[in-house]
Amino acid sequence: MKKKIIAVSAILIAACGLIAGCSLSPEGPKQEDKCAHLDEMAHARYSKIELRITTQLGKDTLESAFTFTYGDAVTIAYTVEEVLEIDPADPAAELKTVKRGTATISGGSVTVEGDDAGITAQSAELPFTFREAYFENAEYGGNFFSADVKEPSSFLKGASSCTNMRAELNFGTSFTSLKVTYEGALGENVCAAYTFTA
Amino acid sequence: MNIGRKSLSLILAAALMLGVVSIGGSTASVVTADAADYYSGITATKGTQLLGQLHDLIVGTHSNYTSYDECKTYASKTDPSLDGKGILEFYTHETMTTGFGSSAGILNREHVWPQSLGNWKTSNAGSDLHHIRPTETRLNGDRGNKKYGEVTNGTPQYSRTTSGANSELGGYANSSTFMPLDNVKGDVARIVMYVYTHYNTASNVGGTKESRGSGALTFTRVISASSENAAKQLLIEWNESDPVDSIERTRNEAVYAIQGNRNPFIDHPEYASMIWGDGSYVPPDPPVTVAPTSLSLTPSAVTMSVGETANLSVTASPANASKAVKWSVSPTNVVTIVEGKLTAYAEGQATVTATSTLDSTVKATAQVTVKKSEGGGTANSFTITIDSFDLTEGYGFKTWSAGGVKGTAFIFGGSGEYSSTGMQFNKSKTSYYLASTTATNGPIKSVTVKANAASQTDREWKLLTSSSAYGEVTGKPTNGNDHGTQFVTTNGTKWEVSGSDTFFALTYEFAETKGASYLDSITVEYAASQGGDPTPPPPPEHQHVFEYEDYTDETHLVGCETCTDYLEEEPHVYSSDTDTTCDLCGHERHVHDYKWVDKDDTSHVWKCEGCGEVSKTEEHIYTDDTDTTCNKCDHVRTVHTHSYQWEDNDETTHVWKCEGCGEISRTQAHEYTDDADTTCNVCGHERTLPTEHEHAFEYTDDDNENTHRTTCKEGDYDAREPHVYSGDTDTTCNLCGYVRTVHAHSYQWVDEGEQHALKCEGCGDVKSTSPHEYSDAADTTCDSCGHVREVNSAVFHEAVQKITGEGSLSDRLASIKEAAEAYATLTDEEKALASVKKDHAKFEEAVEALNAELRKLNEAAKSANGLFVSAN
Repeated sequence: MKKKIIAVSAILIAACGLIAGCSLSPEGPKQEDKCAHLDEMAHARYSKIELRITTQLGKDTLESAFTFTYGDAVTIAYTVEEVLEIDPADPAAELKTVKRGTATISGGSVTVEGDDAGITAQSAELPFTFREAYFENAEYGGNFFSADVKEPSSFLKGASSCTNMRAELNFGTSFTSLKVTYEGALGENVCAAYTFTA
Repeated sequence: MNIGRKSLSLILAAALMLGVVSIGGSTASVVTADAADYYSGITATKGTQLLGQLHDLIVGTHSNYTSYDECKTYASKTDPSLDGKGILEFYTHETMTTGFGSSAGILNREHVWPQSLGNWKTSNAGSDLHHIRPTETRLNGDRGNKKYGEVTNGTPQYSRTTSGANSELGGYANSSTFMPLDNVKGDVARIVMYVYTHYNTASNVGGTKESRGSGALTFTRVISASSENAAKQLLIEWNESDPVDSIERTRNEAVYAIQGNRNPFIDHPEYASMIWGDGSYVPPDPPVTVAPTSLSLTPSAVTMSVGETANLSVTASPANASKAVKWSVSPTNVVTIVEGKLTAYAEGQATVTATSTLDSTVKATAQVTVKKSEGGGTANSFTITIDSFDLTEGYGFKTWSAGGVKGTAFIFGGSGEYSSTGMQFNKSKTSYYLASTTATNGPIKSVTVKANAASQTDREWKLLTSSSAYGEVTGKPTNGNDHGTQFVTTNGTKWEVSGSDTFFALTYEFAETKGASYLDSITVEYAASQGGDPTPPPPPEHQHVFEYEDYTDETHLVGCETCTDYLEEEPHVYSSDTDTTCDLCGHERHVHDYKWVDKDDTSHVWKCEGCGEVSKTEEHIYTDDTDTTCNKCDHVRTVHTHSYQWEDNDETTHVWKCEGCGEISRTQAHEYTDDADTTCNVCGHERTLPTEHEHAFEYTDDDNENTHRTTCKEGDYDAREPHVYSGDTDTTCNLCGYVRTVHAHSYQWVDEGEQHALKCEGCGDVKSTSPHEYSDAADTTCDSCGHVREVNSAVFHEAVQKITGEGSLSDRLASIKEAAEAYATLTDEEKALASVKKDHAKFEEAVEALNAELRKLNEAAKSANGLFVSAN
């Protein structure tokens, strides 16, 4: 039986090589990453990307919205909510404040009009890397992908302290929407919702 | 010779004393000739040894174990009704035509030995045809699993009709025991003994073969008796008091044909006594067997020569009918007939008659022609026909005998009746000759051969004669004087022979193109021996002339009028069940003519109109409670029809009572329309209502603070009632004069902490309670009771509740503002109040905690933004 299995395996391996065009390496045939095409789309050029980030902690929620417009330069229009601390002797009329502004990235430099929201030259790039190995419980469809992210920091740079991260993606020949959720180190629940315009 | 008509009884007695005659055959058992072989291996004569042999026999021959369903299928074979129209019900012997089922009036399968008292369900013993009997369903249920036994004053047990009414009496029972009718007790006993013998553990009954489904059995499990011996005695009594009848015999044969085994206690009822009793029981002889409806004799016509013999055989119809016949011949000087054997005595013709011994009207005849023999001056002859041959072992090499001469031949008798094909000389190498092995009494003068049919006339035969015997050879004889060949004819082809040869041989000159030669007869004539008269034939045997003498109620003696050598006791012969006169001896018997006869108010009897014998008694049977005439004996009873009416019974009730017999069906209370109604609406009873009475009250002050005693002078009222005052200040009761103390309340508002109360200073009576009242939020003193509250502590407390509660951020902010504003309005003194300081401190702590949460939220949002937008 063992010989038979080995023989069958050899046949399958050879067939795979023929079908996929893989070259046989000393370690064995190379298999294509299932997420390779997603990663390609993640690094494609879009005309516009809209991003809404919702951060919820306890009973309270803050929202930030970013609109990326790609042309000769990249413009990022944004609104970022913040809460104000309360003075018990003289509490303010409102608890929230909103920062608004537009950042223009060109030639590696950032020009800001309005309130500063900390935009950098890297802000224009999508921070995601799609690799099959970064996910588990993945569902691959012809135009959708959803999975639990088992390596958050590999998938989203800097997200090492995030837990229960999940990604849900819709696409055609390019991304149409992407939603990433996670729980943060402070106990917050974050949801980042992208809308792509090719 | 005629010895005169002596009393056959005296002759019988003398014969018995001399031991020369046995009566009625050799045994009193009831087995048929075939069944006799069944018991050929039973050698024991008593006790367990006999029981063990019977066990092994009936177990070993039980080749087909029927299923429970097959008990229904085979019922028409095993239990045909006496009138042939349906199935025989076991206990009542009535005819059932309704088939098997579970409703009243329908047959069920009765385990004579109930399942619950045995080791079976519905297989093995539970489906043995010797055991299972068709029984009406309700009677089966009533018997249930009661043991069998004698019952005194038991309850009659009836089968039912399909409507559930009583049908026929099947026995008597009490709570634990069932007693069948007298004519079924023996049946039950013999079935129980069969089951015990067959299905008991082999070692328990002295057997060696274990039966299917066997287990330990004792009679006391199914017989109501004080001991096993007592149970055996009861079975022996029932076995002997109700002998085996035709129902059981017929059944035994039918079951034997299906299962392969027999009930030995039906075939040999004496076995019960031999095994469990003293062995003295001799069962009565069986009744006569089936009389034939017709007889025939084979051959029906015989041609013989003087001195020759021939045999006649009897065939009876139906197949199971008796073939016993009495032979007679007329005239008696031509041939004699003894037990079917003819001996030709003198030339002439005679008629032989065979008369059935069971029905003298059933006869058969055969015609016999005797030819004279020739020899010397008088020729002798004999004729060889197919009957001359000893054909008991089929066809082939045979010996023949005719006219005192014997010989051999190789013939075929054909596949059917020999007489129809005649002597068939076939083409096998040795089968075409016939020769004599003993000499004729004189020289052979001629031999005549007749062919069987015209188609045979091309067959050639050769005659040889010799002075010496041809011997018992199987080859074609060739020695002797050759008298040439001739073609045989149906009229007979004759060889004339001269000389002194006394032996002859005929040989068929077989040719390949011809088939067998069928001969009808060969006749040999020979001269009488020289110098003497022909040897005279033996004198005819004595032919009995039977005479019959009435002997017992069951039998007559048969003797011969002309000799004393024949004396037999035989059963009376009747033409039918209603025939009262024996056809042979004229014995008159009484045939019961039973009818139901009214006995008394409760019962009728099944009574013979002729002799008055009462066979059974049962209760009158009516269709329903209103039926006045018994359905069987027309006894008329009086049926009382109740006529009920309501009748006043007493002050409180009336009754539903029969006007005729006074029987009370029920009792009810009187019914009135209302309290004022004095007449019962049902029976008219008149009641007396209590009269209206105006009380004359008296009031007694017994120094009770709250009540006085109120009574009526008439004595029909006595109660306690509260004092009555004109007002709150009135101190004297208006009725009894009791004097009370009246207290004037003085109510004041009293601080009671969280609220104040309007309370009487004197007695403490609380009139009402309410919350403290303040002019405004800053007012610290209650307007009513002077309660001093702490300032604004509640607002901080409430704010803390809001900050730490489930409200929205804006709600929390609003409460914080309210608390801040309230604090701002306090004076320094108020702010210094411990409660204010305490609550305000809690308030500030809550706000700080909230701020910490808000900072976390900002940090989380910033972190998220930084991840997705790489914002700093």
